[in-house]
Amino acid sequence: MNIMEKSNIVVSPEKCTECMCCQLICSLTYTGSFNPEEARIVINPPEEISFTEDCVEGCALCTRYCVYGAIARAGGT
Amino acid sequence: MECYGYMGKTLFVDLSSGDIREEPLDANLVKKFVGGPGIGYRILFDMLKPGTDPLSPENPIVVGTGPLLGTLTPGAGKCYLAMKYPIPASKRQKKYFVSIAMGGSRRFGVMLKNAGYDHLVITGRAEKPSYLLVTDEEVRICDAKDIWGKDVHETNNILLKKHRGKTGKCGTWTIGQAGENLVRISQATLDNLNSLGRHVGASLGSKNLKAVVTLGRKGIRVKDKKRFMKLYKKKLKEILDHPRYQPLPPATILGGEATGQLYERTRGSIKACTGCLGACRATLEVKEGRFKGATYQGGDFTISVDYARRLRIKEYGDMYKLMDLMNRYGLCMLTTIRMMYFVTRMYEQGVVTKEDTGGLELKLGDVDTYIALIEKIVKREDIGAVMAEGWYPLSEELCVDASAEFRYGCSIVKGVDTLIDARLWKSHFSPAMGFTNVVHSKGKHVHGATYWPRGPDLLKDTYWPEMLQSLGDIKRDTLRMGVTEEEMNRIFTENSFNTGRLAKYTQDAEYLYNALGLCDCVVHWECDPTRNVPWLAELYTATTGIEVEPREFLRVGERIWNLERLLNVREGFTREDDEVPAVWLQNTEIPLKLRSGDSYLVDWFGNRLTKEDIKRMLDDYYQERGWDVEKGVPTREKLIELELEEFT
Repeated sequence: MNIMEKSNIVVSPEKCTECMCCQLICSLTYTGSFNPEEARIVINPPEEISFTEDCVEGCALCTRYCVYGAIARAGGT
Repeated sequence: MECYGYMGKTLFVDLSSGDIREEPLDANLVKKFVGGPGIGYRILFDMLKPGTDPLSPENPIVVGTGPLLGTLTPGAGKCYLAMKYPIPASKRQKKYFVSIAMGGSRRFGVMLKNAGYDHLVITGRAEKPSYLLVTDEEVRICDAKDIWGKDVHETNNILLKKHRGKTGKCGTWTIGQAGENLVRISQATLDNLNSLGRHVGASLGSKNLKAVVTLGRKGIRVKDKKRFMKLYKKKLKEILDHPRYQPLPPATILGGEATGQLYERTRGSIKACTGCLGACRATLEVKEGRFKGATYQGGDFTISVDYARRLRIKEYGDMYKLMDLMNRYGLCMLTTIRMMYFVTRMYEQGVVTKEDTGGLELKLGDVDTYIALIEKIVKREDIGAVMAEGWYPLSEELCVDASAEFRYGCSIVKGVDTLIDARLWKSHFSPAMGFTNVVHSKGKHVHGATYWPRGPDLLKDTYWPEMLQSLGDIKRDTLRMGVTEEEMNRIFTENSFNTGRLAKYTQDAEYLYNALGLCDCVVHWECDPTRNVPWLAELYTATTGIEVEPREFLRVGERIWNLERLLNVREGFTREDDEVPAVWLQNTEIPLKLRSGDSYLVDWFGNRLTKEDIKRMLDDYYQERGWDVEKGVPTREKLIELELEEFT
């Protein structure tokens, strides 16, 4: 089941280009390999960008790798 | 073998027998050819018998990836396809070239690797319409009754619903009705957005293969994560800090204020390939009028303007509609547009008659004409049946050679219309564009740091001033390919370069990028910082654990280029087939009337070319390649030097 929101991340699915950088860095960091299906972020634009229930609380690593502004840190920091 | 970057397996599927097997990736092949089309060509060399009919079950289709695809490497989202194409490639005899296509993927490539495979080889012909499912749990030939007859978008949507991933979409490679009907100018579409093969749809159709679906979670491992991330982050910073970097294509570069505004008003989402930092695939939607709601997904906006000018289409909505239609049917847009223009002009001159068109009146600017004509091509009706066969059969039928018809034809090499017509874009008989179109296995173009639009003196004539390069930029980029000082001295003088000699190195570098799985126009509004062979060599080592020296890395590209040539020599191709399009040769003497004035064929520096100049460029090129200059064929010495003795 997906968590729809994370308090520290603002999502804008309409800006998502599906470049998968977020899923790539997430899976590399948490599973040790580039494995989008094991990432903790779900990408189905334009309807959905959400997070899986095992997404680490407080983690916003993916936002640092999104150059398109589809996922960003809340508060813009 | 322990695999990093690579998945270590090649999948073989025989659609006739249903036999499915896998083979381990050979470490020696990896050393020699790295991956991508290098390994694809090596597989083809053994499996493809010379003279095989490209639409027969015996013609293998090899599709796959490179070791950097699906890592974070910027631009490493390109899949490759290697096969014998079904396009009649000679006016003089029946023959077909072997070549590659590179197609940008979002999920297809990364999911093929995550299913556990670097390469997929498809042979045979399924008894009934089928699609191939490749996952980490199973490989299955599935019944395609729900998707056969459907267009590319419909097919894609059905497959996405059926094979949904946990965190996103599956990967898809599909054909439309044009491919099913064996239209030779049809394409196969990757992830519903990019072409993987402008003229290969009929080959999939001939195998009763509607689509390939990929999905998996094996994980692509990296040998030295710390080193990889260090290299990646440094490059990322370099790209993001570049003064010209923009993640999305800006409207200002798209050819004037009015078209820029149209782009802003009609564009929807923009898509990128895996790992790309410069998304270039826009969705364009008709906002009002008869075709309101029609949506074209795919290439950049500029082409819609070019196409509309060619067909004299005045309303943008009409043009988007035509492009959407071609995309859905799975037709190569570039060829179809040019062919429809040529046939219309021939109709005006009485060469094509109403009888040929099945009663259809062909009229420039009339969208209904072209909707009807597209459907005739897809259904192979009337003149459409001839157009579906390719340029040379069409020319033969009309007794007018489209490749030599100066006003209404276009530049055609080996049966394929080249991306760029060097007559129109003045600087494009340059090493990487016009020239490479001529000597490549098909009329391919290359870009990236090898693209090089001409220098500052002609700013006003250029679409994309941001991309203009100076001679100094070209020297810098050539050095970044790993070219030695001795080679540099052969290529460059203080104020000039030798087109034929420089072309050789741009091609070698291009094929190395392709072997790695890299796009050749990454972050194309700037200077392509990833087009740097020493950096790529280091990144490759960090990813795979395989040590490689930059000059040796560039040599891999040369090896692949030579292997491609050998595959085509086997099919009967020689220098004679590296034929400069007749329309370009005519343009050395006859001006093309453009709005900006008379235009002649020129080199990169703007100097007018003669036929003798062009012949000399070709001589220089074959000599720099170390090939037989008269025949355009790799010599035994060259093959031994490249450790390709087995092919002598």
